[in-house]
This record gives sequence, structure tokens and C-alpha cells, in this order.
Amino acid sequence: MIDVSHFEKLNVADTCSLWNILASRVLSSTAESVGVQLCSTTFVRYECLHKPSRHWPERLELRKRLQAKLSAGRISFHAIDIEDLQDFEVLKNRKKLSAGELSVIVLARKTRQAVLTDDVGAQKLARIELGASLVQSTAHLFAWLYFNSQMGDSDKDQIVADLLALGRSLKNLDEYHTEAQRCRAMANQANRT
Amino acid sequence: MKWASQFKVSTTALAIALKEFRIISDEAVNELRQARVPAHQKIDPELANLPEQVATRKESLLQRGLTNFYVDLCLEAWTRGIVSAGRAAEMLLVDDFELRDIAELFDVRLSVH
Repeated sequence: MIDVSHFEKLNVADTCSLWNILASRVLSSTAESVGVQLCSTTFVRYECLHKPSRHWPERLELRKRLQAKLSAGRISFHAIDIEDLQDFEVLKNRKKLSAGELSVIVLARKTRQAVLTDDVGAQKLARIELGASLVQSTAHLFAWLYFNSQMGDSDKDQIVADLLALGRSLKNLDEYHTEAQRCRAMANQANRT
Repeated sequence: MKWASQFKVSTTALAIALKEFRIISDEAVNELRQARVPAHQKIDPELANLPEQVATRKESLLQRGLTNFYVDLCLEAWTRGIVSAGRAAEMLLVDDFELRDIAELFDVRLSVH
């Protein structure tokens, strides 16, 4: 299980985790207020804002939120070099992960930031590339905020509802929530004794 | 013509089969061979016996060149953890919103996200 007491604040997010965080205003604003910073690659920006797709009202709303964050300077996108993609591990896994996920791992490694992804496959490769402590997920972010009393039990339900309203979901949120509850109870007990 | 469409064969093939079983005469064979099943009456085997909405969605995938077999393969690779959700979406030429839609269409439980 992950360490809910620790979360790297500087993150390179992939498309899926970016959408998940933006889908819940309470989660994104709380994370922002405690100094969590998100950035990503220009390829992810293309996937989020420019890649042609069918018309989804949910996607339109998320795009709007992303545009707002961009204008406010809360999220930035950076380019990576072709040489960065020639790394052996990256090449070996190019068929397993999407171009966006690969670019995120490459940028995170280059800038020594954490990768934020909700995809199990991408997490696996990122752990090999960066080490487990620099691989994080949206559920981990919530668990860390909960552990530090920045969020409560009702916030979890709000996040689930927010995500659902925009056609998204986080399968392991309950599991992380339980773990954060357990750790918080233990920390409280330790403080009392 | 109805039977040719039902068995998914051409009228010629149906005529030959019927003749072999001595069900119809030579003249009837010639007559039958001249008939053609119109395109709109042909039943796509991939879309047969499906609820209308599902059939429409699957048809739109087929129009993009994505057959049931290929979509199944991509979704299996995803659910078995061989490829990531993002990669599966790339292989199906869709974004992750539509990936969920397709997974639902193919009765695949979402284990990621």
C-alpha cells in the first residue's frame, strides 16, 4: 500500500489524471491551496485541447476548466526533446503506453518531478523509470489531503459525485480512503500517548 | 431472396444448393440466379441479433475500420494490463471518454481509472 503521509507537490500529470483532478473542483482547489502544482507536456495539451474527437459535453466542460487554469497560470505545458524519447526503457515500452503517458514519464524524469497518472500500466513503467516514491495518482492525492485533515469524509462523496457528473470515476478511491482513515487514526492515537 | 439473405449467401449459391437437393428445377435455378439481394437487405453477421442502439454504435465503429475482433483484442489487452488505457484508446482511434463508451458497448468492466 502507498504511504498516504507523503505526497510530492510538483507533478507531471497525464491526460487521464488531469481530467480526473479537474473534474472535481473541491479536489483541485484544495490541492492548489496546499501548494500542489501540476504541469504536463505539450503532447498532453494536444490530447486535451486539440485532438479531434466526438462531441462530448463532459469533455467540453473539462476543456473549459483546463483553459481557465491555463489562463490563470496554474498549469503549464512543456515540450520534450526527441533525444529524450530514445531512452531504452521508453523505446521498449512504446507499444504498451500511449504517447502522452510516455512523454509525461520522460518529462518527469528529466525535471525530477513526480508522475501523476491513474493508469496502472503507466504507473508500472514510471516506477521502473523514477522509483516508487515519484509515482502518484489522484486517489493518492486525495488520501494525502485526507490524512493531513485538509479533506473530510463528506469530501470523498463529493469527489465521487463530481467525477461521475463528468463521466469519470476512480476505482481505487475507496481503498485509499480507508487506508488514509487507518493512518489518520493511528497518528491521532500516537499523538495522544 | 429472403432465404439467400438469411443464410448470408448469394442467390446463385442458394440456387445450386437447392438444385443439388433436387428441390428446384433447372429453370427455377436460372430464374433464381438472376435475382440479386439488394445491399440494404444484406445482414451484416457482426451486427445480427443486436439491439438497435448497440448495432448503430457498432456500425459506426465498423465504418471507421474497427471490427468486433479488433476491438475485442484491444479491450482484452487493456483489461489484462498488457497496454494502458491511453494506449488502448490510441489503438481504437478514440479518446478516453469514448473508450469507456466502447468498453460498455462490449460489456467490458472498467478496471482502470
